[in-house]
Amino acid sequence: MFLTCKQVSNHLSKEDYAKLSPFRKFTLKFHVLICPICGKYNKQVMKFQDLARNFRKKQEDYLEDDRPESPHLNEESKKRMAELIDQDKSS
Amino acid sequence: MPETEDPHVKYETHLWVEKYGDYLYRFALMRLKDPQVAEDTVQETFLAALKNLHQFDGRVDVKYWLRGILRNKSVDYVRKSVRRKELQDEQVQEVVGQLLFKTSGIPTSRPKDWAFDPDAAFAQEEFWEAFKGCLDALPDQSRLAFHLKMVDEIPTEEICKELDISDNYLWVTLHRARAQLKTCLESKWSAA
Repeated sequence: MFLTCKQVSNHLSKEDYAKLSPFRKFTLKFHVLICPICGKYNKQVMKFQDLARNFRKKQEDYLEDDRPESPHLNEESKKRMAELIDQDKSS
Repeated sequence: MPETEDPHVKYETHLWVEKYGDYLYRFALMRLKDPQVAEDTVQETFLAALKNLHQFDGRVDVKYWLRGILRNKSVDYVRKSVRRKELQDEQVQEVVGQLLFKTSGIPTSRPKDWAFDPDAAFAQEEFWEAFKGCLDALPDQSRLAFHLKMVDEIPTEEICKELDISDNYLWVTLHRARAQLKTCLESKWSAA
């Protein structure tokens, strides 16, 4: 019935919540709710997920950002790649 | 559009480099860090796409189709470049979770809070640079594991298969990536 903190942190760091049985979900939730240490650890894992979500959004902007200071392929490489594509087309 | 149309014409392959080259290059650079490796991977992506052009059904944008191929090519590169390491059970025990445990399964230390709020931090332009720098400092495999799991949200089983690593190895890698990012961000950002 009761999970140890070790089992709880295992589940939390693996982020496998969706895969757990309803009973396991309940005991996990209950433990996180009443245990200050696991509660804190849970918050940390969630913070990291927030961070990744924010990163994902920001990365899209970065990839699309065509200002001169953002990374570009050099012209020579572009020319080479365009030629390779052209060769393939005519083959 | 007629069935017989040349896919090169239909999907405008002659414009690919101009339209998507830089976008794909930045995507590769985020994951692979090394500019030369990133460039080679982009080139391989174009060639692989041409080879499979007849299979492309146009249901997604060409850009995202190319990006998907590039993602797989990055995985291939990292899988080949990282020597396969087997993980001992003790090492898994040592790092799973961020807490140390007594034999009874009770934690011996409290996890430390983040020194800053990630949500608020991302609103600032400089934080992006700091984050990118910290990601670049990670080993190739950890960086890619972070991208696949946290950014692309690929299921665990698939990541393990693609990178040819065990479940436990992935968790340890991700755990280390998380811990390293946290430490790096805190030193770069809290000091600012």
